[in-house]
Amino acid sequence: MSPRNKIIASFISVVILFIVIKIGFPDPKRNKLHQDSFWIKKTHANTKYNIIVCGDSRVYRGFSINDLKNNIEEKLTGINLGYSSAGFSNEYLDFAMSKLDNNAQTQMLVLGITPHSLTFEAFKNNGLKTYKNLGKVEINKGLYLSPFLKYFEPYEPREFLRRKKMNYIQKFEPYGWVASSYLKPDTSKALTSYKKTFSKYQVTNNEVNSFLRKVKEISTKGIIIIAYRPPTTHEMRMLEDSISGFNEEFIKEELISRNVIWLDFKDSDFESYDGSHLHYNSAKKIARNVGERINKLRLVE
Amino acid sequence: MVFNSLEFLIFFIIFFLLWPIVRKRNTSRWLFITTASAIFYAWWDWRFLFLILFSGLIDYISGILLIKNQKGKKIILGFSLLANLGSLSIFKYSVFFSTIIQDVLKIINIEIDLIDRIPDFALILPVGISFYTFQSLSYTIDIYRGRLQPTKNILHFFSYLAMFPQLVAGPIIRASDFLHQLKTYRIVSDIEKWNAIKLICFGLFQKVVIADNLSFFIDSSFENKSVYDGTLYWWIVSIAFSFQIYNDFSGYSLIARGIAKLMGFHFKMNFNHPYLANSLRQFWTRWHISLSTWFRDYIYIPMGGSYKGVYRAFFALVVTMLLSGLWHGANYTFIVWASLHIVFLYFERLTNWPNKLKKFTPFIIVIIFIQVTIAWVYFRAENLEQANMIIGKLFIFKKSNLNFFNTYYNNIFFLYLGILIEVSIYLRKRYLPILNFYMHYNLDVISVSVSIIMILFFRGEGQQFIYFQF
Repeated sequence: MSPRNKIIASFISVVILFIVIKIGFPDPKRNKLHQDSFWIKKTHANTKYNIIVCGDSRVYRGFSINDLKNNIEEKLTGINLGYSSAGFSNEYLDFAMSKLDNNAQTQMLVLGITPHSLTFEAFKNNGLKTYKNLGKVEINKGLYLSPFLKYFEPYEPREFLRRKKMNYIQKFEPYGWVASSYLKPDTSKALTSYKKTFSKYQVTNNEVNSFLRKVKEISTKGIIIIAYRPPTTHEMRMLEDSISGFNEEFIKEELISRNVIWLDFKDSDFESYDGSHLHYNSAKKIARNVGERINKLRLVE
Repeated sequence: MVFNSLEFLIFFIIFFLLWPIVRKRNTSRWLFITTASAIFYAWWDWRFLFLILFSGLIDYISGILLIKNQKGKKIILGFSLLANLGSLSIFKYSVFFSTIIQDVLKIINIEIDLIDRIPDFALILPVGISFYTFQSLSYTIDIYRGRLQPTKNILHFFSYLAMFPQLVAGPIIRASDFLHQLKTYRIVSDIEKWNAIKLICFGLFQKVVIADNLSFFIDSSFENKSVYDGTLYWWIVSIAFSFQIYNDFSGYSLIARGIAKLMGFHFKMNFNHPYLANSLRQFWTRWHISLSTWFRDYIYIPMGGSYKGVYRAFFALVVTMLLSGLWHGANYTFIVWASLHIVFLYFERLTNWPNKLKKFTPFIIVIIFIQVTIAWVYFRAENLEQANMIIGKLFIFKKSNLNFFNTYYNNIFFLYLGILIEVSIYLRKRYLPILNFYMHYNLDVISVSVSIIMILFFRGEGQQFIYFQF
């Protein structure tokens, strides 16, 4: 075969193999490009919103923003701006504020406060920084090229050769929510890692005071702030209350005194798949619930 | 800019769209190569372009002065060496040398913090500094020795020094091999295009499929993030690192050679399946060939090589290997890595054991590979304590939890693949019918197609090339 024909033959073989793989295995499980694009859009898209939902993974997995929007009587826009291990530092709250539509009549922050989100470690906001500090090329790739790049999503040998089903189900929805669940739920799974985490560091006054100061600053600007403690399992709540240094009653009172609307939820009304995060049906339920309470309180005119 | 990035793909397309237009005239060709190379390098950090410019200007001027001023040759060469090695020392070795001085002073009870006094700019290691410094040095030394005529055109010189395919991670190209290639242009034939495509595809395959997929397994082990331990576990980690560093660096060299070939230039082979070597001496003629030959020609042979007696040869070997160790990195671990190679090489020279066992070639290959793998532990480890701890685990038996094969299945799979490829190359070289079968059925077409598919669908997380740090 001549070199020219070899080049042509290789090209044709690649096209055929590409089509065969895409027919046989349409969706790679890893979805790395799609995931990156999800986070990049969340962080770098210029769109402004009426409602910003903030918090850590219990929020970005556990709060379906669309269900909130659909249950508010007024037509509002919103995004779930939760990040992995996010902490309510000034930097994070300023970033959330930058996503609010300053010209809108209704501007609202919904804060899902977990014990971990008020720790020194969470205040580093490494999850947010990973995406905030990306280079321009990576950002543009995530914002504009992801529809094309999704066809080149890499596979893992395990899913290709063993056809093994993954236990973790997660769907990266528009507007920042990750609908999550396990095929086989394990409601005690997260306890060990949380025990380990809170043995290393706890909630301290420094972080709590900094958070409360910032909340006051925001509420004086006329922005509606709603806060809640994301529901989880009873065992997790007991563990966190006993070893994290988090005092829910104190935080609640201090926030209410700063014009924050505090919402209480019963853990037993919701379902967790790993002992920490909410099942996607519960994530929808809690968002609907928040929407209904906003309507009752007549916060949006 | 790295070869396995979208930015480089765009750069590559624009470069080769313009290349046929600019290549015909010397000035436009050299200017184009120099400008493109500057953009390629500046993508990482434009400030360090001045360092290449500084290093290059000194050698360009030294080259001209060396011819004009025969009497002051030594002074001019000395100045060039001082400037090049001086900037290399500042950026690469200032922390290491300060650490050594601190450690020595500590012995005599003098506590001094020199590292804090190093200016911030000197703490950044410019990408590829060791490569272009050595390339630049070889130019001046060759002119000094009368083996090369200097170029009078500064663009000609910089298109050699800063040639982007090999600027940041080699191969180290000699001026005597390359300056004359740059003087003309060639229309690339179909066979050259096909060979270039093969080199680029196989290089990318080695880098993004094998090396990148192994990195998570290796990094989590060396960064103490893995829960696994035991003798078998650490042997698999060490072997995986041997394959990662080989595929990473060999992959880069193949891509560089392929790109040069598409431009109509030829870079010499930099890796020739080193893990199939049947002696450690042969390993060093197959691993990073451009660096090994550089050290051979500019250090080992001028020191007498193996022609001036056993002791002199030993001394030359020690100096060459230690310098090679230091070239790779400013840390005690690299010195121990080099020292282990000295011990193994000298033992091999004294006993000639590979020759005595030459009937059992596969066995010898495995033994050589084990030696190299043990030495790589020091190369990869964060510090001597960690390296010694791992070596202890390799040789003092401790049971491993075999679940790590399952946990790291997606990584270790690519180790199997890397080993399978090397074994198949060994068989192809050793048994003629296999080679004939390969040639007769045009299996290279299948190899290239499968490589491209693997690059598209089985690439690992994008990592920088390991050798960028040298």
